[in-house]
Amino acid sequence: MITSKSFGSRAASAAVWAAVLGMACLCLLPLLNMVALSFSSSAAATGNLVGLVPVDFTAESYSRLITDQQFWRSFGISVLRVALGASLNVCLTVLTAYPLSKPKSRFPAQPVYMKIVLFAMLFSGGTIPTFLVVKNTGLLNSLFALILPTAVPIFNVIILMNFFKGTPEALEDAAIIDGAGQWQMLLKIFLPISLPALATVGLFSIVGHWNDYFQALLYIQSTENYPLQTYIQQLTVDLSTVTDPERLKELSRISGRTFNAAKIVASTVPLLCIYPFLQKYFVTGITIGSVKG
Amino acid sequence: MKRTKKILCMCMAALLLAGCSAPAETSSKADGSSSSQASSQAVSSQAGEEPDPWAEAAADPWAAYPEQVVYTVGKQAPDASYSVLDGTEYEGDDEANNIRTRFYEKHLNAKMEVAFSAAAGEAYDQQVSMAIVSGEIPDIMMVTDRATLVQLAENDLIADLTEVYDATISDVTRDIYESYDNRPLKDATIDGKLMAIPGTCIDTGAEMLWLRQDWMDKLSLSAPKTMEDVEKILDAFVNQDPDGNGQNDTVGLALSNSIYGKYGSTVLYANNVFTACGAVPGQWYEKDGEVVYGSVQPEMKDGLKVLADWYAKGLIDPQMAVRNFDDSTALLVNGQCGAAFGPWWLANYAGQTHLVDANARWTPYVVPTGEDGKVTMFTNNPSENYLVVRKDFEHPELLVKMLNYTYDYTRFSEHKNDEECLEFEAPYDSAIYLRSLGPISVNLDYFDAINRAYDDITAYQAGEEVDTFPWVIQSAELAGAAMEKLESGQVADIGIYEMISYYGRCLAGEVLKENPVNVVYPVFFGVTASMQTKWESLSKLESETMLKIITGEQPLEHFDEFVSTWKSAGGDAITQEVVESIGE
Repeated sequence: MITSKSFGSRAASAAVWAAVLGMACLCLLPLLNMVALSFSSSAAATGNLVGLVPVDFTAESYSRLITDQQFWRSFGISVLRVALGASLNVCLTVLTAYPLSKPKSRFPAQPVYMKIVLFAMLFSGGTIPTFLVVKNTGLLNSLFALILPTAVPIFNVIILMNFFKGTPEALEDAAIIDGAGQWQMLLKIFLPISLPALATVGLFSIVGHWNDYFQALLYIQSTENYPLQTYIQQLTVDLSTVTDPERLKELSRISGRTFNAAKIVASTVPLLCIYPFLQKYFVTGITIGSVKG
Repeated sequence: MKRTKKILCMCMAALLLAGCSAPAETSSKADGSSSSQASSQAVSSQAGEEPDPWAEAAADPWAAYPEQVVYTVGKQAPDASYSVLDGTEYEGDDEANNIRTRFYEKHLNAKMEVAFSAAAGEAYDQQVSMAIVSGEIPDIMMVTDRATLVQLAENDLIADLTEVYDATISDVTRDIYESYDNRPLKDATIDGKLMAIPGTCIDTGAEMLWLRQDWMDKLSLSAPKTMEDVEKILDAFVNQDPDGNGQNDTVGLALSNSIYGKYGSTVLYANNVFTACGAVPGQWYEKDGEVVYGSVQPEMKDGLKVLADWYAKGLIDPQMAVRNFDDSTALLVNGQCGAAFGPWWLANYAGQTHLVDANARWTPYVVPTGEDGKVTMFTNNPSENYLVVRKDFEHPELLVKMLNYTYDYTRFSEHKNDEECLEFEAPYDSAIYLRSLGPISVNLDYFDAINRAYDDITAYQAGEEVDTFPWVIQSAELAGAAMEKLESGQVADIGIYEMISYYGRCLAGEVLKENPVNVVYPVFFGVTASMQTKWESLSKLESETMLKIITGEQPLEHFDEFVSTWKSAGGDAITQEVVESIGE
């Protein structure tokens, strides 16, 4: 790599570094504020006195959190949802993307299927029709209501399809000559070389399932069975949208801000653990898939 | 099916007859059962058959059903989860089986099943709309706005409760509605039929200007009365360093960025400033014999002028436009701000300031007064929310019976001091919001409940025997503890609830009682046809205009332009519809 040593270019690269670091810090600030809130006293939190450092340090919120069974129940539901949902997502993504990545010469109906898939990506049935489908298929109130309607993430299919398209045709020819069928080809050749892309779509699915709160609001009719993010969303009600004075009175008595902050912090831990391991694939996966496509 | 029809017919007959004899009933269970015998005889003589125990049960405000009735409910979920009960004797209780549901089951032989439950607010309303869309609503369900109630009625999904109400309501429950001149019931009536059991919105009393008394004492300011007095105090709070830290860091009046709205329903509105100028912001009310919308009346300009002037002088929190609710109320708690409008329960915030600044003391004042020396308030929609019954539910009277037990039997009857009633009234030591426990998620209380509680509290503190609710005694004791600790200077030991009770129930209660106010009763709270399409944008126009004028982005004269835009953009048509709908 050729590096210029002139003062100007050093200054420029220093400025770029500073700007990038600054932005990275900006992203961290809200999270740090949450951590500080979770370790502060309740009155300090209600009084908006907490910045990036805890005020009146206390770990009471966390000792309360450990005993909050609904939190752990929802946590478990979320983990199960991610495990089932993300693996189903990845399986179906692979199975859809693989045939679609074949050229028309090998898969004559490919353009037709492609159009169907694209159509489904651009237009959806809308909230109410989807709700009715979920209801009439008897999925309402079950974990599968959160998994099956989004089982094929089409955006991910397209990323993976482009990645598959980018693999050299010679590989496939060689495999055919050696007598491999389509399944063998997919499992023994395409999947092993697509690990970066798989990690990418896998991460999308995991993050998507973990962070989604809205579907459970629609499809889960008992708060006990809420996944974690829906549970947390319920706790952080914006008081200015509450119009029932009785309830507002009740909510305003004691601020749960510190306790809720502890829950939010705890809920981000699993993703923070997964991220570093998948991140190196994440960047290469996305660029390879799209550039060569 | 045939049997059901027969039973229904007999129920109807029984209900009609029981309705006639209802006023003679008292609210005790023993009397209730004797009157049910009377009505059952009436039924048997009419039908010429053996008395039907189902009809008897249906006609009686208190009687249990002969066999277990199972009903499904759409309900709001509690904010706290049931896991707070772990380790107590109530471990294992949940949404479908708790103190309140067991109570109804025992007294009425009716078992609740949860069709759906979601947290109050968007999540709950979402579930209600989904239930309506799918055409399958639970047997009993709460709806939070009148538009949804009308929608349910128009789609013929809910039962007409007119007869059921008349026949099965208990005297005290009826009396509670009458304390509002039956306005909630009228509100729940569509095309002459009572389509829902409304929850009531109690009178919060006047909104008050809460001021930091310690700051006023320090700056030798006397109690305010008029708008000028208020301005003087705000000016001193902003410019004379009331917290004595040598920095110019205090803000004047904390104000919500929606500026005004439902009276007494939230804190930080400047409703009183407008009413002192003769305006009734955001309400449909009768002015000189005509129904008008308050926000477009010329009097609004005077109120806006005052606020814009205050803002220009720096007497209103300069960041009010960008602060959310939590940020604004935080100003009160952290001692940055010493002035805010709010109803008695602004104490929920004021009662925490002493933990940040031990010198902090708040006092509420009923100000600013208008020309006649009084503050003018306006009332809210008397019905807060509605309980509806599914159209073909076989036991529509169950809802009314449960209402009787919830707000008469356990609170006013001779049984109110029974163990089970005390437990029913303060379930789980209030660890779980009581109205999220059963199907009766609405509040029902006398219009002047705040005043009644204040009277009871002062009587209790004076050492008198008081026949009142346990929570009133509890408030009195908490407030008493706060007063003792204030006296002896142990301010740091005053708990949040103690201080809240002292400010909210004692100080505010006294001020409210001593200061009679003028009351304007708005005449319309519903939604008209054009409102459904146009109201949202008109409201947006309104709130943006008001905010711009106050913050000085637009001159005061801009108000006239707003009025003409409002009228031509649908306001006139809506006014016409409102007038027509009141005429009906």
